Amino acid sequence: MAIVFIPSQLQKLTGTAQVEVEGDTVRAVVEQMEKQFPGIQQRLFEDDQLSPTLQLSVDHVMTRALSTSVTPSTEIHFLPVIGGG
Amino acid sequence: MSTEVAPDTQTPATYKVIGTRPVRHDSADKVTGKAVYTDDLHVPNMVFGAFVRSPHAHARIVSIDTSDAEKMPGVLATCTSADLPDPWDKVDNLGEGCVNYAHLSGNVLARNKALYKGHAVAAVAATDSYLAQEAARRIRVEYEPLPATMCVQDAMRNDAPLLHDELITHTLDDKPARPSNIASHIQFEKGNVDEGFAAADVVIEREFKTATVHQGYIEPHVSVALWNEDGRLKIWTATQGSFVVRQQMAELLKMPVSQITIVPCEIGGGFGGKISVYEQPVAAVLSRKCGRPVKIMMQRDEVFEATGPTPASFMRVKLGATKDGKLTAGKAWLAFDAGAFPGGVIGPGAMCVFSCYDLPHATVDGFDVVLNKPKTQAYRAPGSTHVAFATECVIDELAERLKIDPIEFRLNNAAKEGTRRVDGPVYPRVGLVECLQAIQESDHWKTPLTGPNRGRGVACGFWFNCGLKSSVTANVNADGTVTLVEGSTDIGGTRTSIAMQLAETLGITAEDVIPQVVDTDSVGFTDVTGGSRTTFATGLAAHEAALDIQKQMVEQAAQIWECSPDEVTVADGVYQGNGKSLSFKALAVEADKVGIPIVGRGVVDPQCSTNAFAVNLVDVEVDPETGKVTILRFTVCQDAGKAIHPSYVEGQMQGGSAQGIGWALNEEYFYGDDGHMRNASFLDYRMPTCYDLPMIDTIIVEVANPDHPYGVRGVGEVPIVPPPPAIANAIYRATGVRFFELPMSPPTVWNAIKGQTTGE
Repeated sequence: MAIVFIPSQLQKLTGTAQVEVEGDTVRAVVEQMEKQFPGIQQRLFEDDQLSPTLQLSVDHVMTRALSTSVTPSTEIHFLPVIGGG
Repeated sequence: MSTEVAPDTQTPATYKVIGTRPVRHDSADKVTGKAVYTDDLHVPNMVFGAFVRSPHAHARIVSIDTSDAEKMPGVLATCTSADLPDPWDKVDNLGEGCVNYAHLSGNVLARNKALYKGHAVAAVAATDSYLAQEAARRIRVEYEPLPATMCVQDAMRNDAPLLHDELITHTLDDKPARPSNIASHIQFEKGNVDEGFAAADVVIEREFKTATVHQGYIEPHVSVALWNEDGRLKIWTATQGSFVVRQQMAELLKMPVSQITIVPCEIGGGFGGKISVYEQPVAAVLSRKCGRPVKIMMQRDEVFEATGPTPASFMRVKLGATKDGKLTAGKAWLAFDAGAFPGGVIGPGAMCVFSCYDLPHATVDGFDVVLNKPKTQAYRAPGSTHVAFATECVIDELAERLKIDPIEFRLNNAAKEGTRRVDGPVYPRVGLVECLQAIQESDHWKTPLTGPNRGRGVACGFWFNCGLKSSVTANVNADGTVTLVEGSTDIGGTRTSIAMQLAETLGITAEDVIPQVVDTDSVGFTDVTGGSRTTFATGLAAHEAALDIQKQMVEQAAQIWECSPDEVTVADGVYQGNGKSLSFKALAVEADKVGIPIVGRGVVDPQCSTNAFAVNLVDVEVDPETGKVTILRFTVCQDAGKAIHPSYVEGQMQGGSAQGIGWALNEEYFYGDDGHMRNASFLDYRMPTCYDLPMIDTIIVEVANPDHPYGVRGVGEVPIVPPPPAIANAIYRATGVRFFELPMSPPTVWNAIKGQTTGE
């Protein structure tokens, strides 16, 4: 279970800004979201991996690892990748 | 210069090495001119390369004829995009942002179309550089000029000339059916922005523009490539990240990374501009074709016209607040110039636009827009300087309208631990409030500014900072010193700041650590020196390597003292056990006689933002006769987490501030109607010099980063963010005129003052 913050451009698929979704990892959560909101996974993934233009904020961890574990209080955000100078 | 550490924020831990100011390890090489930069290299049988570049801002390439050049005595090879493997349309994450290899290949050497003036079209190798340049002039390129688009708002129009016929806007929303110059559209939403503005007593909305600005590193791009007969490729280059160059080269040339060695030479500045490859693949192909090492060094005009400046932008920012000074809502619409290929810095710009404040309701729309200018790249805190100019000017205007002190207004709304950013994540412990309070307590703030045409301004800035991968090994020598082998290229003294963390952990002196930056075959993968990550993440790796060494030293001590390792204790670099005691150095000498070599290893991939904030306080005087702005006094306050070597922290704060002052007052690309840059030299591209700057005072705040054993946050990027709005706010108080466009150069300021006095 995790709390997923839905990017505003995907909220037409979910009808809401946040959803609570079952799953022990980010990948499991996204796959569960796909069952509830068909089409959402293909907006977030490329070739079964997180789109290279996106990164994840899982609580305070910035990661691209879909294997990241989640708990019921975990927040998941989908953010653009960023670079520094 | 006055430098101080804000007393209330110092971390309680006391250190022996950290926080001191040892002489940097590379100082003798640097000050005596013996440090080896790429252009210092003279490899046996080396020849020289030169580029042919497009004279058009937008043109179809009809044909390229290299035959005349190839007939010249001394010309050894030519190269066009046909010599590069067909690029794959693959988007890869380089740790610091992502890259599309088809776009990267097309930027290295133009395919079918030249997309900006200066776009590389062909190259040649010859026995000397002058001959190479002459041969480049003999390569005949036939162009079909096309209409160009140079302004981000024009490029977004439906009738704008298209740069890429098949570019469909990338968005999480439904994709548009037709191609356009809008490469991507990102959006953030928090709360209900309409409700937020309805609750406001004052709402201010303004439009802002910023100019194209270059990083202005003193060393031009330069590389030497040697494609050996055994198929291995070796490249000496000036780069912020040797492993990222290797990754790009492997993808562009379609060869395994194990066949490529990147040797990072000393680097004369980067600031985000020396991460992408430009001349490296071309030098490699020329070397393969002529069988000799090839050096390519860009001229200054090539650096300006054909590398990666920071984007121009158009922004609209709206903020609302209650009459007691509480922000209620924000709205931002941001369009950034990506240059000729998608992938600008709009993402972080959109994430940073309201990052200094606790806003309950907000929306942000960001657009990445291609146009006929060089592909833009990062420049210290990419995107954040642009948006801070917009937000911090509106914040200042709100505070004035509400008759609230500008620092108090910011403190009343400042982001702190628990604040949810508009893009979603919640801040852990951060130090913006402490920075604002330190400015309030500063001598600068407490000293009234008097005199005509003078004004004082304040502004805040944010940058994420990042972690990423770093590797080090550390070899204990027989004399008790430690050789530290690392993959982070040294920009700004990172050899020493990393060595000091190893020394602190081991309980030895910084001078007893010998840091070495090595090639990609000699150390584990290490991400770029950028993102303010190196002292944080590579320092973390050095800390781990030191703990690894300590564990091995304990085992060796136990063997020497004939006791169990559990009986050996370590404190302040002294090992004790079985009634005996030895210092680290003495134990290393003994261990070398009896034990196996001691080699420490540290590999890390910290996945966190370390969240840096900075605040500027600026006094200016404006000459009403000329519009020239003189900076009278400048104070930068920044949360460093922990300043490992305070001199280098101050250097980053001052350097970033100086560059931000350049953005604010003078720096811009001037383009003619033909899309040609008119000021592609340091004579005409006006960067600040020592004559333009006061001594920049620094206040280091230390709110420890909980994700680092010594509390390090990283310091390199955020100091460039607040200077433009702080100076704009100061100029307003000096002149009564608010400025919404960068740079605020003398003609712009003079015209605005004149317009005010004449009512125009």
